[in-house]
Amino acid sequence: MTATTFWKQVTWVVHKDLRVEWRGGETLWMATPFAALALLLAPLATGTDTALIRRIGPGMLWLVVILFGMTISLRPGSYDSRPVRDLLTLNGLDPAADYLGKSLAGTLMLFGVTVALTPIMIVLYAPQGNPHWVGLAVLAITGTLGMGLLGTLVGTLVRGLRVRTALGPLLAVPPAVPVLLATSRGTDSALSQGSILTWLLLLIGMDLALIILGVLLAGPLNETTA
Amino acid sequence: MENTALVRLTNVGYATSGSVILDDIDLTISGGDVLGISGPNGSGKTTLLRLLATLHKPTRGDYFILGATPSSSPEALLEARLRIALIGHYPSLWPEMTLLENVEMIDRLRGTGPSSVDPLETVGLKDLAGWKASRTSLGMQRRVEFARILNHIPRLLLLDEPHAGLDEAGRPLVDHLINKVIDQNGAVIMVSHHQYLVNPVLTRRGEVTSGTLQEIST
Amino acid sequence: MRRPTLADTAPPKTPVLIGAVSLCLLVGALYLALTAPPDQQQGEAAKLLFVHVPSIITAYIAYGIGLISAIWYLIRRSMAADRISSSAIEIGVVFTAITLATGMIWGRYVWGVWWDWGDARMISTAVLFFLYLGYLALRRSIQDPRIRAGRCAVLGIVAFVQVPIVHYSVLWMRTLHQGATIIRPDLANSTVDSAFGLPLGVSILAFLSLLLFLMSVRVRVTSLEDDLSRRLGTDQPVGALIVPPRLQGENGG
Repeated sequence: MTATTFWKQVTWVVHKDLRVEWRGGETLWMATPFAALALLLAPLATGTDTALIRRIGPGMLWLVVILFGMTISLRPGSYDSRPVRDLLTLNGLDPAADYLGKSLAGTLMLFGVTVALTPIMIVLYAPQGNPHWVGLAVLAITGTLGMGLLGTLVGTLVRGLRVRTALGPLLAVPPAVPVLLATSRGTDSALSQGSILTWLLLLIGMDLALIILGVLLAGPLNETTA
Repeated sequence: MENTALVRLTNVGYATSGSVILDDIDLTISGGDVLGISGPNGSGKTTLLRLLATLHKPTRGDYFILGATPSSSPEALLEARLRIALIGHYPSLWPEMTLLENVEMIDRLRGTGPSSVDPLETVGLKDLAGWKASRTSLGMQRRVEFARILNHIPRLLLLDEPHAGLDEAGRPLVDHLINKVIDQNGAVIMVSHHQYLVNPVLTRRGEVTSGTLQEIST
Repeated sequence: MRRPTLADTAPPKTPVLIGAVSLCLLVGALYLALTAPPDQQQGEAAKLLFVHVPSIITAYIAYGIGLISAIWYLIRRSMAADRISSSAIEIGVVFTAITLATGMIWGRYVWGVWWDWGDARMISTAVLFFLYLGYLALRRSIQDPRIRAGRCAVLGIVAFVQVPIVHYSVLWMRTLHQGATIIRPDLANSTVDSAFGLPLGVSILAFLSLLLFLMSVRVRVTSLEDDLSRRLGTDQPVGALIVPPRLQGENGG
């Protein structure tokens, strides 16, 4: 297969997944309000000490995005039913293109959720500092990409299993710890005009590792249909 | 006549989780063949179709399916898959998409433009093209699957009880599809109940019992 | 099919030999550790080092074996590779748990707290523990041996690649955000004087031979389990076992 058809397949998968999510929409439209609710509840649990709340705001945002975002990455809509997967296999869909496409669709949704939650966090927590918006955007893009890739990989690992809703987060969250640290600590740095370069390099390294692994392992993983 | 065979299975067996599903299948299919297969529940008919569709790899034996063999390259396997169509037990539609989108998405994946004939018109669903698949019945979804295949006539068509859910008016569609495949020197393998296997369109008949395939001479 | 005999379940000679060697080494390490002089700063608590350090080294080696045999499985589709990979990872999780437990006991004794957020190594080891705990959970959830082997091999590879990324992220969290790192005793960095060198070395050897012994037992148990399920199963195709329904009261049935 030529390179162009590979990337055409990737965009085809992104298009399909976003359309299915837009129409079904169950997870995105429920996960986002629930995540916003979590942002409202966290200060009630820690005690409404203004200085503390100011400090934990950015970290809480990313914690919420990672925990609730994983449910978006692992959303039911991203599971094509078995007959549909058979259909796609017979119509020549490359498993690696499927992996990248699903990951990108997940990343777009996670980025959207992050953008939607950011003003809510700012209003509720009033973090101090002079944000470097470009730096924050790049952090958010590389961070959500890492989560999108991880979520898709784990989603394939638990595909068709009876326990997948419980097992998926257990598998996906521990390897997402670098994303949590890089985005939340990086945001702290960006707010105090510090350097985010180290965190950015960490995220890019992790994204690249997951892209390479996922593409290499997509074929063998696709054989394990359950 | 080696080169005209589309499919050749030799001593093929399939086992999963330690239980044997298929055992010692020998089968040769050539262009123009229409093989009807029946058999009791659990005898392995569906597994046989999935093996023929290259969706399962036999656990033993040798095979040749439109050029795909146990040791063939990924490219050869892809070549073969693009010329195989399977209509399985459960409909392969995206419930969130309309009937038209369900047909078009596959065209787009294969990189083919819209055909001159509207396949949804052929299967009698033109006026419901904008309906979401989740609102439609099993029989209507079957017709959409037929419409998809009409846009890309396969070399090897595999049908798993295609009449299930179809109404009286829809049933001739199965024969129509089979004839289209045969016209292009393809082959069809259909798993079905005895009542549909008296159909004159069939050239061969077989029965799967206890994991083996026995051909019934006609 | 041959009926199993008692000889089939008796352990082969090699694992027994490795077991004997690791037992001797463990006894030796224990003796050396108990007779070593107490550390000047940390007292007897420093002797936890003789368990803590060998167990994390053993865990990393076990995960490494898990990675290599996972790759081997994907290349060869050999069920033996799957057994080795899963056994190694399973034992690696146990040794990671031992590392965490000894680290926490040591922390309670020297720092006064079970868990210290300043210790990057403990945090990343805890994440590592959950990472591979997920592997065990995935393994339990899949029945079909080939699907299980394929998916677990993929996870075994992905988890191992994540280990250094997790480790550095936690390390950088500590170093990038603390003005100056407070100088204080750290278990894994305890100054190893000559009195500690010998018992530590023997202890590492003992743990590594224990890993080999446990793996040989575990691989054997899983292969016997597979054998058993094959023997309990049937050679007949499944279809032959399904008979027509027996309806009472019809045709005298």
